[in-house]
Amino acid sequence: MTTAATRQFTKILVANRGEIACRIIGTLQRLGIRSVAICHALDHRARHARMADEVHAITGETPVAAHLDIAQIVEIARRSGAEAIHPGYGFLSENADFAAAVADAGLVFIGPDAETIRLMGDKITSRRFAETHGVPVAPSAVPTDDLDAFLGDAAAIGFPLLIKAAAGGGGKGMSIVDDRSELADKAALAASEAKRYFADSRIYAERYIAEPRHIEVQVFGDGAGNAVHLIERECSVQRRFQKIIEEAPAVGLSEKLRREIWDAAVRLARAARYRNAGTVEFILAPDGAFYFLEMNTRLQVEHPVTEMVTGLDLVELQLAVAGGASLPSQDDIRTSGHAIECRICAEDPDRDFLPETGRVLRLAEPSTNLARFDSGLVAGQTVSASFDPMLAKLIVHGGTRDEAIARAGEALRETAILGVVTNLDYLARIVGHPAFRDGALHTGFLTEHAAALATPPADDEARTAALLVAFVSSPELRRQVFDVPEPYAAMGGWRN
Amino acid sequence: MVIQLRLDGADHELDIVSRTPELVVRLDGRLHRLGPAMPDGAGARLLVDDRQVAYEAAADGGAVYVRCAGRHFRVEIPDPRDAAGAGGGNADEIVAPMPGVVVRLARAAGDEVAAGDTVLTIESMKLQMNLTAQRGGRIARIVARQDQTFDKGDVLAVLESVEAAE
Repeated sequence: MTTAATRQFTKILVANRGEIACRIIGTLQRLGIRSVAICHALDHRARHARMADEVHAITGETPVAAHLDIAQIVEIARRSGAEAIHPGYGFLSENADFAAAVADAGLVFIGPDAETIRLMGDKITSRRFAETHGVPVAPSAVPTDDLDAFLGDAAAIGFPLLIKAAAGGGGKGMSIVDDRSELADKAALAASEAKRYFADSRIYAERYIAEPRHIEVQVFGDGAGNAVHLIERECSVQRRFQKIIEEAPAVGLSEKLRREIWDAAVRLARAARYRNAGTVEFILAPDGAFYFLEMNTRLQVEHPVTEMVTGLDLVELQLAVAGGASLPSQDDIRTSGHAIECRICAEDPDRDFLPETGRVLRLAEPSTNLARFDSGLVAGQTVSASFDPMLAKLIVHGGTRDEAIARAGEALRETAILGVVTNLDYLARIVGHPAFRDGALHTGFLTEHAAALATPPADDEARTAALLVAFVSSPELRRQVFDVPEPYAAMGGWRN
Repeated sequence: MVIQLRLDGADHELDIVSRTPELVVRLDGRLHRLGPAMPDGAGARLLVDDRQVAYEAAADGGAVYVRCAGRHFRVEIPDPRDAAGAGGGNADEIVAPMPGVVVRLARAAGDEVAAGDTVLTIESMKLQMNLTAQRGGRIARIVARQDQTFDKGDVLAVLESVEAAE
């Protein structure tokens, strides 16, 4: 994949933390590239800082603010002699100003150009761009000052439809309209709600898709109009609009439909002269129609499932492309088997997935022959509310989906994180659920099966085992029970 | 002495019935024989009656985090001394671990007691519980009276060391 003309990096700054920083540093180590980590003081005992060849402190009003401080991070990169910056995901990874600042400092941003990030970062321009280049978008009616005209456009979409606030999020100012008679009232209501919540009364309407699936395509572009895909991923199992289980390939799609989705994604990447790794996200309707949702201009959290089925290291591929190497040919990208990723988060599924904090007292990772475990965790580490609650990712591969599911269940049962509440048991219940095994997935899956997935009351035997294990495992209880005169009295004969 | 454990909001009582020739404990009225806890790969296993229980566990002050029987548990150890709040925290005071009523006074002021001896029995949430002396000594005074109600954290009896009294 590399040619004589390509640039070999010798030192790279990783502008991130947690599991993704560790994962990137792992590839840098394997390739013999020196790594520079950044770390806030509150990120105590952070694993990524221990792994890196060099660590620099970052400061800010909050730990997150420190990770968003463009000038500070670029300055550290310059001072440390790094030639490039890998942004990971989150934080500054989709910040066009950051990409521009990195380039202005004479460094390589491992990702797309600032203009591409800007184009795809805006919902309306990216959607328009997709539509212009023949990528399907959901039928919609755009904001207008003329209410009657808007209602007419909206009705033309067909019912049911969804009215959303243009500036909105979190379900505010959003409503489902079942037929024409409700349209005017619901539009007025949504506009007033949008005004109240977002100080912006603009609304738009789009086709409502019941029980949609989230399908996305991993693409790589060379910045010169060439692009390839690394097949699709299925990310339909979501809570709070965030993915927690991802798979590659998607479940039960026809080869024809998969090809259409891949082609749409590659078409978009080529049209945008996309550089480096990106993901084109689609909504797939039960009738097989699919619509562009957005393009993520970075490495995704769920990239390991693609690595498991393609055998490629996506970070290595990112470095190669950033160094000017040509893309692998589409025909050389082969896939085998099925991969599943489970996101392990410090959250309580029985309390609406509220983030949890605590100290990791004990960490038991699944055996390496069963699962890949991407984590930024070390035992003794504090899990604070300062950062994202995702602690680790457990990724399995099997010859078939059934095999991958079985391995995921086994690996989840092998994993223990003690000292902070996590969703580990919840994930095990999801992969063990018959509807999951049947592949009856859609973005409302966890809500649909909420009752079956809630923590069941422990049976008598399990409760007894847990209590007795707690008894023998607590130094405090051992002291209470055994530091009493009785055993000393018994020992008196040989204790003088 | 009786150990209080709390799991999923429910209280459980555990005490040692015999220490030799094997360790036998009573958990909520049922007897269990415990073998040694042995390392098992990355985790451990405990022989409970005739059954091996594979587990992972970690203790952190007032809680023990346990992974066994295919799921995670958090077992709390309510400490009567902690329950006394800022004013407590010493072994000289017997403090109410939860609100309740005094069922029986087993000892009177002036009695000498050994650590683990029951000083009084209380009833709380329909469960009777023996409150025991944390250390050996003499009962300086019994604050609680028979049938008296009290709140969590109330001091019910006070111990003094035998030497101090003499």
